[in-house]
Amino acid sequence: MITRVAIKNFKAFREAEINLTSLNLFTGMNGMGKSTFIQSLLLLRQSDAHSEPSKGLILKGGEKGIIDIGKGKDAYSIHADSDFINFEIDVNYEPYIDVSYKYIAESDVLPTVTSRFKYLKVSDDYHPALFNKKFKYLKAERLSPEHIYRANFSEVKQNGFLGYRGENVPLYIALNKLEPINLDKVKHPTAQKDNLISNIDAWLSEITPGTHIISTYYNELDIVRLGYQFDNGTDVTPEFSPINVGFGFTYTLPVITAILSAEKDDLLIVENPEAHLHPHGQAKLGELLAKVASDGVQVIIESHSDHLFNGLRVAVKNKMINQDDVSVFYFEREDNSNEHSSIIAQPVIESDGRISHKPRGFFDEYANQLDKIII
Amino acid sequence: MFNELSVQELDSKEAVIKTLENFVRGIIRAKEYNVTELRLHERSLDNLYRINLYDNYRIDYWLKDSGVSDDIKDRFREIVTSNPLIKEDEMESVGLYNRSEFFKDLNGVITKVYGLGAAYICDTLSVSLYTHREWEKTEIQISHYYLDSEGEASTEEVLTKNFFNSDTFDYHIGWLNSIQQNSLSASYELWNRRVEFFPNLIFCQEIERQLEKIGVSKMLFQIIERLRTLDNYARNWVEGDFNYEDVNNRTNLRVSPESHITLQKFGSSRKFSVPNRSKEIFSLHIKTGELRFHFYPDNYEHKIYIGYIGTHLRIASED
Repeated sequence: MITRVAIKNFKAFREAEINLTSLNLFTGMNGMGKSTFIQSLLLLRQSDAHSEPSKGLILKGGEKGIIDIGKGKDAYSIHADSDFINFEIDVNYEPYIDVSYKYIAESDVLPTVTSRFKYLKVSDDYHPALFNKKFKYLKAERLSPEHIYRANFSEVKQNGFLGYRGENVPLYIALNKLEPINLDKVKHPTAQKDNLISNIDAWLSEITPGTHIISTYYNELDIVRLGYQFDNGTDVTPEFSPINVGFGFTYTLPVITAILSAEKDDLLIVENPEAHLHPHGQAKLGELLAKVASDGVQVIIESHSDHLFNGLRVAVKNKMINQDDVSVFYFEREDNSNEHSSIIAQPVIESDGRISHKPRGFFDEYANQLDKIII
Repeated sequence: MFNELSVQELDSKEAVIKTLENFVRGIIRAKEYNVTELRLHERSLDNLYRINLYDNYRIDYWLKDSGVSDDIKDRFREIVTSNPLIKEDEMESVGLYNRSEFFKDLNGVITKVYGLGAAYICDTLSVSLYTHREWEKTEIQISHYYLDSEGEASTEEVLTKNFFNSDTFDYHIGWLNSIQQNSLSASYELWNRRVEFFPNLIFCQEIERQLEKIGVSKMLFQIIERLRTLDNYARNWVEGDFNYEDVNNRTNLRVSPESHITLQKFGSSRKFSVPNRSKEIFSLHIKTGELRFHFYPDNYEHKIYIGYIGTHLRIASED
């Protein structure tokens, strides 16, 4: 598990560091650096920062890459105090990477200046999840509903790769639907069987009761067809194409699949996991994320959803996850500052679900609007 | 601070609905003046949900009553569930509180009170449900029983500031403005005259921003007192390694280090910039009420750096 990330002269920060726990929620105002830490991790993976010889910091991932943040001038902090961008990562409370890159404004690869590693492992090819197949990342922009999907057979069959937009999820489900769920806590209590498809159905049914998903791989055409059916009395409805059911189902499917297919020690990074879900679905997703984190998967999410946040609070209160395993990072603009600079507040979810302190603007808009209505 | 003794029976369901609406409106009014946190004592919760406000009509029934505005109910839920409960260990660092008990005589019945006592000791407002004529007062008399520093028991009658709706909140605006002003000027002076006031302490740059974040806190004055004591100690520390137990023995300060597990899990939030050096972990700290300060003694140069003044930093719960 990544337990510490420190950055210097990168994007929103001259210098910032945080301790990560099992479940980490990044939230806050737009443009205040909420994505900076996630982007650091993505760039380090994209650049194979753990391997030698170093490739430098690859800012443009290209077609198969993870992230494209432009050139050096886009990565370099406006508050920088030197010509170096530095990242440090601790894994399991020990330093793992400490790497510096030289700032070059017009280059999309920044050369490595120094790099220090400490390999914590058992065998030479062991690396933490950030640098192996145990890394799962879903961007904010995900798979949209389609009648049929392309099948990236080898990526899914060999690597279990879901795609950064979740584009391989329909095929993944088609190929693995009868596989058992690896983790205990994420299994839905009403799932009819212990396998992937039954649990996807059960969790999707939290969004709309009685939902069933059908995913079929057509070998000869090399395509996948995804469909939905709904309970209809003692029967089920005909199959609907993703285009003809709620957008939220298909948009959430990669998140639910990533969670249900996870294994212990995986790293799961998801931007806006709750996108297009109705409030109850968002809160349940908070619960599911808490459960997978409690099962030993490190989860990093970026979200503005107070429903998801409240789902996490309830999960802590109901002891689905230990309070020490949940961290919330709130990125806010510094008061009375002429500079466009951010600070990171860390309200803590206490064991009874209450919040240690609420910085101004931290999930308070519902109350603010109610006040205007009441008065 | 919520006055748990004000959860009492009224003579009609309509009166309960009106009282709770007034309570919510009072809290909304207080927010306009930056009084944003309603704190319930951990011992208040039982009262809040279990006592009938009218013939079998409790707050949890009110919350399900379709005749009550959903907006008022939702806001009430938000008010009472967001902020942390006041727990005994938080209050223990407010010196006098752990040697105190508070009682209220209402209609000849004497009851031990928590919210009213905490409001008195923290010099803040209590908020009541208007269920008795006593709770319409803007100052409520309670008995403060305490052991003085010599261990002698004393009792005195004291007044706690109180409101129950937006009008009674307004009565306190002048007082609130003055304590906000005092607190702001204390934090301004603390930063701007730090070299003059504390010649033997060095304040890290982060403190200036932290003081802005603290806003209004009576505890800031206690922090200043403790900084003065530490400054005094620092003047005489010229050789040997810093020993926090020696500080605890020689002064009235209670310095404690963070545990290994807290530093391992949450050490990053205790790193501050020592001038002309890299960042250091500031483990040693002194608590007072909801505030604390963290410092770092440099054993080579025999200097003490103050890195953090503010609300408590995250600790590992198994501590």
